[in-house]
Amino acid sequence: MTRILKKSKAVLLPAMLCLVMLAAVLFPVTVNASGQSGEAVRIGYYENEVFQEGAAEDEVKTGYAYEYYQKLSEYTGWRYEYVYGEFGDLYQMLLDGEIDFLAGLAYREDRKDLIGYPDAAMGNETYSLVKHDSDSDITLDISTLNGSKIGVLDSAMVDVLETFLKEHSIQAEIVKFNDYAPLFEAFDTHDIDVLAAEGDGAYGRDHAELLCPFGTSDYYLCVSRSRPDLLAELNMAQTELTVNEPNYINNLRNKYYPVSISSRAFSEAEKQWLLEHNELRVGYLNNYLPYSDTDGSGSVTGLVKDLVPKIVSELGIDDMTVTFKGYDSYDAMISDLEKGNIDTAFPVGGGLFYSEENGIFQSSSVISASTELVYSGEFTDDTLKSFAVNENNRMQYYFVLTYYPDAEITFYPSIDACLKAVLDGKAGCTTLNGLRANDILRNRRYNRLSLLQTSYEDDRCFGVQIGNAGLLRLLNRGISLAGADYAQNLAFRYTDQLFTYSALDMLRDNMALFGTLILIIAAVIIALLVRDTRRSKREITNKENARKELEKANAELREQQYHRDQQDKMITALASDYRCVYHIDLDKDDAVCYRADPTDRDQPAEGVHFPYHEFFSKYAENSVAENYRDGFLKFIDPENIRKALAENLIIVYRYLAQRDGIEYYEMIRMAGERHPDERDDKIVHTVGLGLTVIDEEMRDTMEKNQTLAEALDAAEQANKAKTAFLSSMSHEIRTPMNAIIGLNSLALRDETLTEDTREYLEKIGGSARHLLGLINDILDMSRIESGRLIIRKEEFSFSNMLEQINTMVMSQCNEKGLHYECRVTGGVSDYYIGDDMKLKQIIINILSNAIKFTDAPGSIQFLVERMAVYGDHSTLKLTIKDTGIGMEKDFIPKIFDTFAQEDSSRNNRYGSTGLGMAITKNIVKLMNGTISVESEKGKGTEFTVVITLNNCDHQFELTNYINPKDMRILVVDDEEIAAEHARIVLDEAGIKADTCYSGQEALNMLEVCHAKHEPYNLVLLDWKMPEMDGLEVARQIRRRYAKETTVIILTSFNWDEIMDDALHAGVDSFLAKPLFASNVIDEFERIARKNSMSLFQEKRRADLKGRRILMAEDVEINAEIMEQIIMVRGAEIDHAVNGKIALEMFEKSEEGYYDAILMDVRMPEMDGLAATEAIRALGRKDAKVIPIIALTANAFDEDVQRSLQVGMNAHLSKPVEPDRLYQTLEELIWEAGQGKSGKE
Amino acid sequence: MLTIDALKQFGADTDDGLSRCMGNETFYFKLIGKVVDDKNFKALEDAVAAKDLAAAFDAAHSLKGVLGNLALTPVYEPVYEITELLRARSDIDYSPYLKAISEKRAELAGLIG
Repeated sequence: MTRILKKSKAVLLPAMLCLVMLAAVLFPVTVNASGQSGEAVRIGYYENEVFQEGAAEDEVKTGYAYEYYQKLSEYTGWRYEYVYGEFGDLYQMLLDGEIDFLAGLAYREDRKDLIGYPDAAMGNETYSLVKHDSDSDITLDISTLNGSKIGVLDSAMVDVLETFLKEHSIQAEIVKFNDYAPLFEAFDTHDIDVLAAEGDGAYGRDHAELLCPFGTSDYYLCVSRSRPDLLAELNMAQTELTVNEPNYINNLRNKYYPVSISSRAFSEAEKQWLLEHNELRVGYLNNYLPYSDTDGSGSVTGLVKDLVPKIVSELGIDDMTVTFKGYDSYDAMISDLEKGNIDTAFPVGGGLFYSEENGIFQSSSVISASTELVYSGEFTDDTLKSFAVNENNRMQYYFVLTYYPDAEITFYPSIDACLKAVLDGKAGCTTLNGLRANDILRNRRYNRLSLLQTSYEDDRCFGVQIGNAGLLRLLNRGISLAGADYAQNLAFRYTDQLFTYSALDMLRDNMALFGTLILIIAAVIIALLVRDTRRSKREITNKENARKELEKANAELREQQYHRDQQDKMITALASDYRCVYHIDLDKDDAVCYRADPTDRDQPAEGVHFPYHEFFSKYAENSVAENYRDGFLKFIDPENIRKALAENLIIVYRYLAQRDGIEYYEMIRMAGERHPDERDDKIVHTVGLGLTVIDEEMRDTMEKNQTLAEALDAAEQANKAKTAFLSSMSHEIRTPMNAIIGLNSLALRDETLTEDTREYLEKIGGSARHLLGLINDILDMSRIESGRLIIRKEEFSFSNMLEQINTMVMSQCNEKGLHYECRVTGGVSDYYIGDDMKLKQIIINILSNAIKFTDAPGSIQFLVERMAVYGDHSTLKLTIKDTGIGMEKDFIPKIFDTFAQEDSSRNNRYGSTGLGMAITKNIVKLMNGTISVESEKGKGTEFTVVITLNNCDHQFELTNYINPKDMRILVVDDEEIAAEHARIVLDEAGIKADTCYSGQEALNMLEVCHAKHEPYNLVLLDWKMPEMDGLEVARQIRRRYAKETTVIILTSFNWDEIMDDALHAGVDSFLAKPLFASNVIDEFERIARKNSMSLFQEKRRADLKGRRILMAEDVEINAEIMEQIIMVRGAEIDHAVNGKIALEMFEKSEEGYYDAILMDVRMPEMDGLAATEAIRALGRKDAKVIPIIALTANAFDEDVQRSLQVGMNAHLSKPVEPDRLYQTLEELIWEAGQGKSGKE
Repeated sequence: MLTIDALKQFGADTDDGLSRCMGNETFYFKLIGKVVDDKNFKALEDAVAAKDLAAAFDAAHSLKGVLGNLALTPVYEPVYEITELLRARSDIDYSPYLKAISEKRAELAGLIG
């Protein structure tokens, strides 16, 4: 077997962690783990095979340490923030307090003051010595190490090794290495004799032989010195862990670092056995598949057949001969083992105690399988009182004796007899090995038997005579080398044979099929008989060859004649389908009638030739109804026929015909006549033409079509009516609803309300919101049904979404006294591409449902896991589990139906629209996901949603987080109540909102705010307004201002019909009224992200240093203050005491001398407005572009607008805030430098 | 002697005023010394007496700007009120406002000593 040398990095284990690491390649990166609640702690995460894997963002994390972290968080509630990097860097970060935790550090005196060690280790490591297998100087006798050269990684291992050597008084040379790579190289090149290593140490080296362990070392999850609080929590958690799950660490070690003896050299006992034996005699049990059996030819089968040779070859003792002997009885096999007739028996089991009783050693487990109880009918207390046991299988007997000591045992000669006894009610139950049970019970005769898995695992092993330690160890070694999965996988190859499908079984299962089959078989038999008869006839014919040939020629002639007659008859028969049949020569325009209609007097007689086109044109004139006539004429046009028949075998035209005053439907059909010699010629020369009356069929079909068309029409109408109804209903209801909610919230702000009135108003509000929810649901459902619901594909923060959900659900659960828990496991990323709003709706719907149907003190659990990643997709599984009232089995399939309520009385109690789950299911479906539910009455319900989202490699800047306080919102609504309601709602969320009541007003306000350099981030625009509607306002806004600055959301009751127009007009999104602050913020964030808005990013700015600024200010004190402010930034300022002087100074200055003008508005001589107008009118280049900033105490909007009209760029109100002034100047100067004017 | 504490006690928002003077106390105090003698106080009184409301508005507006800049809130407030009334050219008795302004101005002058 060749093994590939693993990379040195791969074998690093904790002991090396105290190494002085080389300079790191990567700088540690911080990544947020996931969105659970709990304290966030930073944990250093470095790549280390098996111990800690997946040290990069979005990589699946596994490993001993990773699992340990997750376990700890169960006790501490920690949320991990993984910091990735090389060990050395992370260790430094731990020292500096930049991370809180680092795993895998060994305890060292010199380190104990630098970092915090918890009381308990997170694991421990065995160190071993490894030698070259060819090296016979060094043996298990430790003294042979004297004088050898031992290579060791410069780590905590060195101390342990030195202690070990000292204790055994061994003088050896210790060579320290900085890394594994040079250490292995030194070993491979025999520079060192012995390798000190971790675990079983050989690291996949063929020529290495494990010598002995020399010590162990604990390693710890260390804590930064700066976080004694975390150290205390860790100690507490470890203590709790030890108490609750005492075997946890052991199990974890077994899982990740299974012990193996595979790489050790053969022991003395093994060598001795091999020396004395060149044959391995294996006894096996018959009729015990998949383990063993004897097949029809008397050879061994079952996994024993493959396993023993595999073990032999793994051990490298290929010259060993293997022989097999089958036993029907376990006792006979064991007895032969005792007598030495076989070396080993397979399988043995039933527990160590009985093995000892039998005088055998049991090898390590080949396969461990649970034992299944087999019973018939209901499982009752009596079932376990009596067991049927196979007398030839002691393992079963021992098992029953061990675990069911009180049961009455009856022996039967075989397992089949046992099963039959259970079937017949003679015994309560019997047992079957877990690997055998399913397939045995598939047999038809056992289909009334049931299985119950016990929790008892029963090992199946090799047995050897007590004392035969050599063979036992060889077998154990072989089993370990073959691998734990080997036998298990092999087993499934043989389980099939446990299930035999007899002819009788098949017959019973397929009675109907059999009937048919028998008929077919009979038919085949008859056919065979006939064939045989023919065969003998032909033999006779051969003898009379000459005469026969003559007869054959005659017969052929007769045959041809017969054929021709048949064809004629056939043609006549087929022609009877037509009223009349003609043969037409298109080239010669000649027609002849083959079959005439006796009722048609205008028709030429049979056999008469006549001109084709003329006749049928006349027929069209006389007999074809007017609106079909042109079509008919076109159809009979020879050119058209040639063309059409080149592509089709047959061409047809249906029309309304009139004859003798009667109207009826007729069809004309033509088929090309093709002569064999014309086969290559694509052009049709002659055709057959038939006329058929199709009146009845046609009328039938037309009637049906008419009915269908009418039905379709009616359905379409109904659908339209429904959509119109839903849309108008929702509008009609929502308008007053909006007023109710709005007025209600206004009323509630009155502090003088009596308690009763307040309570009534709160109830009104609650009911109104519920009603609104119902309307929204109905509207959602109608959108889904009409295919108008669109699933977005946008980047979104999954963790943010979860956080929002958790905040909401947590408060609802707290209110109701429920325990709520949200867990995210297994590599769920922070960002995905999908529709977060809809996903949120799904999750909230299910969670609300869970809350609704769970009474205190219940609990609700929300689990998010990543199931798979493929390509750029991730499949996520969302599980929502409650301990609520659950559902009856019958109701489960109906839960996703509209208006499905299991019990309408509960409806009153829990209050529900009955649409939630239907909507949820539909949205999941639209997302190509699946939703399923499991529930048990009185126990609880579990919903599982599986959806696939696109991965998102883009990471958002943290600065993109939107602080509501930074948002400026303008609400435009002609209904004062609606506008005021919106303002209040937003105000409560800490968002500053202005209101106005018309489109024109809105445009004015936008202009003013833009000038003040405080633009609105978001305009909430009502759609239906008098004079200028929302769409027009949106258009105007887009015409004036850059899209990056302002988001427009159209608010309406229903926007389905104007969606396209609105988007076209520049509307970013839609929200239903009445507004809720969270929806507004969510939607805004979404759009901001999508537009990658520079909203909260700093604008580009110019440096003020060295700039020259002209200031017009009549009040000296103000001027002095401005000078002081400006000079601090290193700019120069020239002061003019009024507008006139300012104008003169600007006029006299060199072009481009001044970078900006600060203009007081009210000044004597010439005010700021006039001065600005005059400056802008100057015929020099810089006059048009120089930023002019108005400074006044007049913050009135009219003044602002007035200053904009004369050409100022911005308007700052006094008293001026220095920072605001700097910002305005810097931005405007930068913009002017870009050749842009201030106004966008 | 003018001090920040005294100004604070007087009711001035000295933090705001100082920030506009880039934290320079001497400069701030110098400007306050100037504003007490601002000719617009007199101009305002004269204009009101002469019922020239437009001129009175100009003077008041100008004062409002300066007082706002220096964050001398107790003087600024009555000036602000009278400015808005004068802006609307309200036909009322302005003397209570003028009295309030003059009192606060005197108080401030007293601080300077």
